[in-house]
Amino acid sequence: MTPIDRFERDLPIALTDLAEEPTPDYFIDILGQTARSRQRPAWATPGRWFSTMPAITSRPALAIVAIAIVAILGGAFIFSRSTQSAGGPTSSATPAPTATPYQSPLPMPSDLVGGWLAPLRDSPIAQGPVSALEFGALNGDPKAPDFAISGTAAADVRETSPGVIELTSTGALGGCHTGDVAHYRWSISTDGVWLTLDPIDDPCKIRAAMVPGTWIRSGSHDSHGGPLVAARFEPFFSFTLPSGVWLGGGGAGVMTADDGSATFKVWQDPDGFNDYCNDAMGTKVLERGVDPFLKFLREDSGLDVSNERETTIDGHRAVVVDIVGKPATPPPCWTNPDTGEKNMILQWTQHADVGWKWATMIGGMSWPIVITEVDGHTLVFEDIKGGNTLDQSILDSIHFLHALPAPPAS
Amino acid sequence: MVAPPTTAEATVDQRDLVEQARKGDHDAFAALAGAAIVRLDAAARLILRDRELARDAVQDAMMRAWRDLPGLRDPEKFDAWLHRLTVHACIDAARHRRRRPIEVELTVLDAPSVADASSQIIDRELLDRGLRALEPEWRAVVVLHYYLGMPLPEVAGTLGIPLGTAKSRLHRSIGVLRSTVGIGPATDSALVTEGRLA
Repeated sequence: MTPIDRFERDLPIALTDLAEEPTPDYFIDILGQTARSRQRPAWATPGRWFSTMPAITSRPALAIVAIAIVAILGGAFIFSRSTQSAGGPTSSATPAPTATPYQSPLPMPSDLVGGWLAPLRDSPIAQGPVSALEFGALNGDPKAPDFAISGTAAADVRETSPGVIELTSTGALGGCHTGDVAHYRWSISTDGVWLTLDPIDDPCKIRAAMVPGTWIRSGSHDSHGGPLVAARFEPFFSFTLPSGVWLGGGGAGVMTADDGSATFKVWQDPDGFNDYCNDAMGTKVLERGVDPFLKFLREDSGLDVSNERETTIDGHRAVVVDIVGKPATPPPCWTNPDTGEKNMILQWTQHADVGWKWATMIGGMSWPIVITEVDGHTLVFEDIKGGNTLDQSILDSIHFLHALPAPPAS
Repeated sequence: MVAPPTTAEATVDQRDLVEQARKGDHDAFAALAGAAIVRLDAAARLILRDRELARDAVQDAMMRAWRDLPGLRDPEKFDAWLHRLTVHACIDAARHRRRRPIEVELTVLDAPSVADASSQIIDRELLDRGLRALEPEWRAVVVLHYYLGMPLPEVAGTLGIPLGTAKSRLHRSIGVLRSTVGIGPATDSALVTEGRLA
């Protein structure tokens, strides 16, 4: 036996010796996290669009287009029917804790959890087309900060007395320091749509300049349903989710919401693959609009496209079409060898310097997607409930907006 | 010392646990996770050479496993799937780490120039140095093949790379490891740029 043979023979044992340790002490933490998290139903995850890899490639960020316009436009009408009292957001405040289906208590009132939007404020930490606050996550995701402003200025949150929250900075930020403690009075309109935060004290000036005021609930974050706004699309749009526990997410031009039995997903201006079997062949840039996207789907040799029918979304022409990856798609073209997905669309957006690729299930039942065109942008929706059934109710609640709705008049 | 783990076929008991866990039985998932955690934690530490990053990677993998388990088509592939999730979480973690300067020193190794042919166990410290001298993606090939016992085609599938690339990475990685522990010549091109700002 040569020394080389001995080396390779001994390597497995040497690696085991190098790595050998007892059960890691974080195992219990993992089980605690998984116990608090919901599984995604089999039909909901890989069975449809599947985000196979965030940020697969970078490309130069285009200028952020700040389109928040301080104006009261017709787009706000859905929210004018809010149950908010005429006395202003705070006058009807009811910071009533809401039960969540998770075993571990949240560190803050669950009514607060989710995202909140307001017109873009003049601040070095303001990003994107609107200002955004984030409070925790409904599924107890340990990676979600208790509080953040557009992904920064993270702080721990606790409710010190009914209607008062305490923010404790967990990092330094523009003259603010870890451990800075602030207090805000919070209230939410009875319909859960509007959050008002009034400062009591906040030594962190950059945060104090951003947080106070009235915010509208974001559709790109966790929520208990109800009227929401999606503001990382052009144009913005409002929509209403049925009452429930919705785990939401997304970024520029993409949004997902899932309550375990229904999914609502949106993509703006998707592109395609030149070769769905080979990412390296690059992006097939698609002309915007319903018909060019339908043409792309029909020409995708790995996709079955059927049952096209016309509909409308907020008065705009839309087409519903059923899709599924062809069962004969060979494994070398599978994006995921476990679940057999194939590349479907690539997405770049002007608000991001990263891309997402989405794959779709091969074989099985087809499911409907809805394609529309608004202001020169392609929008692709999935609004599914109970298997593969199109649930038009969320789509029917959509209203396109050119600015965030204004808070109800006081 | 324990024997190196293998990727044996899932047992009937494990298949039952996977089926139960897919239906939301968290106790069944805990049993599966408990059986795998030591192996996954060790693999992650071997790939990342960083205890904290390894913990994060294994936590990520376990969370994904629980969340997406209902979508796993074949319960027999649970172990391979869990390995894949863990390795990908490790590589993601390594890529993030490259954004900041790291502390690994890559000076000329002072390993002995000739192997001790009588040695039965490779020197632990030298092996550690050798692993650190590899890119995480290369370490992953070594760990999957020699620690987790995967055949090379399965390694290639797990990492999403062509079989030829897996073979090449393994060959060159072994060359570097041999050199580090004092057996055979080094393959300089496999050395990483760690220690510099990426």
